[in-house]
Amino acid sequence: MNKVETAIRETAARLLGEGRVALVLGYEAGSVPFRTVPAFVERAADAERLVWGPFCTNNLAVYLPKLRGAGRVAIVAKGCDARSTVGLIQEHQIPREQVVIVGVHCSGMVDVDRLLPDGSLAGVAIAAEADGRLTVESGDGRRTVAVGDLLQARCRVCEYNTPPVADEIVGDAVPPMPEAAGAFAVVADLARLSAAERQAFWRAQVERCLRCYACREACPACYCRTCFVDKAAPRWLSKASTTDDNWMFHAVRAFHLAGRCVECGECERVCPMDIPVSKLNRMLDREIRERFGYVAGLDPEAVPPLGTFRPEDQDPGGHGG
Amino acid sequence: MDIGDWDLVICPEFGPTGEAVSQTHPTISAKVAQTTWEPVIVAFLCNWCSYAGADLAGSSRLSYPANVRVVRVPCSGRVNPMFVIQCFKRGFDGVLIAGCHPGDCHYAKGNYYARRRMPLVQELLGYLGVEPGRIRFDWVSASESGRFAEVVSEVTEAVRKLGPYGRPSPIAVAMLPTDIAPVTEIEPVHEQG
Repeated sequence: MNKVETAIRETAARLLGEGRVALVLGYEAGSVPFRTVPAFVERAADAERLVWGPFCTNNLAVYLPKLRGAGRVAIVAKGCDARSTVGLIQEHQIPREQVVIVGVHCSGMVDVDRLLPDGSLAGVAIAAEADGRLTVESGDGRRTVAVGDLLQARCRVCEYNTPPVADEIVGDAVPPMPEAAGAFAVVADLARLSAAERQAFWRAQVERCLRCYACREACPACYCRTCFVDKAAPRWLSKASTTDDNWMFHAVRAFHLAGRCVECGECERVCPMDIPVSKLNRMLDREIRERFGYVAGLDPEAVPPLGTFRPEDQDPGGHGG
Repeated sequence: MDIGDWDLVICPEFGPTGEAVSQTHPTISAKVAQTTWEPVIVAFLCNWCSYAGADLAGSSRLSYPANVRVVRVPCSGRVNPMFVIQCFKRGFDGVLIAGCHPGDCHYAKGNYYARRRMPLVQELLGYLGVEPGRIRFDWVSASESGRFAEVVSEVTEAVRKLGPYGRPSPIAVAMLPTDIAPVTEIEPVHEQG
């Protein structure tokens, strides 16, 4: 058991024991050694179930709107989860006083597809995990690798691995992620292409989309009770998964997250068809930062930029005013 | 025009080059699209300023390209970004969004919200491969009939240069007037009695 895990369990037991929260939202071991699943801990004695490690990848903030009315909730939050929680507070999905953010310093989460060189997961076990190194066991024997070499792309470029907002904080401070300065590099490659090439690129990507909506389900900011894709009147999209409709789905999904997305990257991780959906979010995030100087999920009191305006905002094409 | 020229693909499953296309949007052949193509632009005009400006352009007998299909909306702030995205999904060639000048909004601030959203939609669609020139967001007041004609001419020419967007839908093409010559001269207004 690692030090952070102990601290999370102690904090959870204390919060529940003192009656400060009715529920602690954290991670517990999954059915395979390289997965964790969300844990909903309601008794101090059950805090022992909680785990922490490089496989705590889910953004738990997605459960907060659904837990409204369940009493005060403590959430074990990485930087991204904490920022998502801030977004939910800003948008009145959960009252500030009903959530206790237990921030955890994060050094990034492992991309399980990279555990073995061939990306297979059959028969893989984690034999040991210590000092930032994993010993991965498989049919081909043992292999010890540094966690830092297996990180998910979104984690390598994470700018907020220290939760910017937290009520409690556990674990030792961690250094910033080494590639944080390149957070928007993923947007640049397409920017060099012509419009026709970009069109072709995205059509080829969204053509694969099954419209399973896993991206929507995994996203803490997609909490609408009725999503536009499910509306019957007006019916925005056909039920069939056609390239045109998929294209529109991805365009609208991205736009609905403009100024709200915290780049947790869950949408892309859960996509069964490996569609680079977070590229769109990242591009809009860059625009939002440039136009409005706003970074999502840092200030519970702030209003996201598309929910407000300034009379002195820039006019289109230099006209009017 | 002769209906034979249309060469409509009756089976909507496959487009002109044999690729599967949206079942909701049957296509016409690329050959026909090239020979008869005129840009079709959806114009979202705010009821209080730009629509009135367009109306005045008509009653002042100003000429402007007949390529716009006007959708009257209560306010430029009413223009859901999904409307714009939907237009391109449906194969229209361009979108114009026009509203009251800042400070003139009938609802006090709707156009201010639009001013934040629309350039961002343009940017997003640009990243998705829709040339930014296909989207025009501008202010036209109720008295600016000349400006309305100007904006429509500009956006039509910009879109014409860019060519057809994606696969044109037959609905969009069918909506084009084919037998009306563009108005080039303003007719004298006859004095009554």
